[in-house]
Amino acid sequence: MNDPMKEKIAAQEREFAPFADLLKRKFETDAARSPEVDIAAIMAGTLKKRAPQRRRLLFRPALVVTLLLLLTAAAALLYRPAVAPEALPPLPRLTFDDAERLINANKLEKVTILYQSGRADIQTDAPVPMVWVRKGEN
Amino acid sequence: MDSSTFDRLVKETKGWVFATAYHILRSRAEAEDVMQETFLALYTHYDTLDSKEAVYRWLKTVAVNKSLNAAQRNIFVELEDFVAERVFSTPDDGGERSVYADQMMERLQEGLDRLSPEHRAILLMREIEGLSYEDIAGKMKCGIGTVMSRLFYARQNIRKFLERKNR
Repeated sequence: MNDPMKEKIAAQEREFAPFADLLKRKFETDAARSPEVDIAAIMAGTLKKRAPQRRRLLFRPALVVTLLLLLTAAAALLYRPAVAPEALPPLPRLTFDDAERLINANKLEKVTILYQSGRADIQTDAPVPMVWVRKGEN
Repeated sequence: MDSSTFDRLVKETKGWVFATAYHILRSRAEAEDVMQETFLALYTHYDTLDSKEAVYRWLKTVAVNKSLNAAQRNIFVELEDFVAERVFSTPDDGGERSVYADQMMERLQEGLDRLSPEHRAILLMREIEGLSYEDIAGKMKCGIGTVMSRLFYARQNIRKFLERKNR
C-alpha cells in the first residue's frame, strides 16, 4: 500500500476514535442485555430455534398471503386488456349478399378479409364492423 | 464437557457472543438464534480446543461466521423480524442512562443499519476487537485491500450519518 493511502487511513482512524468509543459502549450495552442461553437444551441435544420460530409461525402465512395478493394485483394490472371486452357492443354478422350490397353502395370505407378454418371473415370499420361469408363465395 | 464448566464458559462469553451477532445482524431474534447455535457448536467441538484462549478465539470466529451466514438467509426471515421488532418489541430497561446517550445509541443503531453485514463485521473486528488488518483479512477470507476499503467506507458512512443527525 502506498504512503498517501496509509496516511489517509490513519487520519480517518484518528478522527473516528470518538465514534469507535461510542461503538464500544453500544456493544457493551448490547452484551449486558443478552438473553439467556438454553444450557439444558444444548446439553440434552434438544435445542430448537425459539423466539424466531414462534414468530415465523405467526407471520409466515400472513406474509405469504400478502405477497400473493400483491403479485396477483400486479399481474392483473400488467395483463389487463386495454378495453374490457364486455364493454364493446356485439359485432353484427352479415351474409355475403348483404356485405356485397353494402360494399357496392359505398357504405363500407374499408374491408379486411380474414380466412379462418374454412371461412372467410370480412372485417370493416364503418358502418358495419364485421361481415362473414363462406370461403370461395367471394 | 461437564455441566459446570460449560455453564461457566457460557456466563463468561454469552454477552460478547450475543453482542457480536446483534452488531452484525441488527435483529435480536436472529442474534439470539446465532448465540444458541454458537454455544451448541462449542459444546460439540469443545474437546478439540486445547486452552481457554483457543476457546475464546474459536467462539469469536464462529459467532462472526454464523452471523454472516444468517445474514444471507431468505427475505422472509428478514421481513418477519423487521415487522416483529418494529411493531411488537417492547423497549428495554435502560436504567439510569441519560437522554443524550440514549439518542446517540439510537442514532448509532440507525447508522449501523445502513451498512451491510460484512461492513459491520469488519468494523466490529477492528474497532471493538482491535484485530489487525491481516487478521481480519484471514477471518473474512479476503485481501487486506478489501478490508481497508470496507473499513474506510464503513467509518465514513457511520461518521457522516451521525454528524448529519447531530446538526
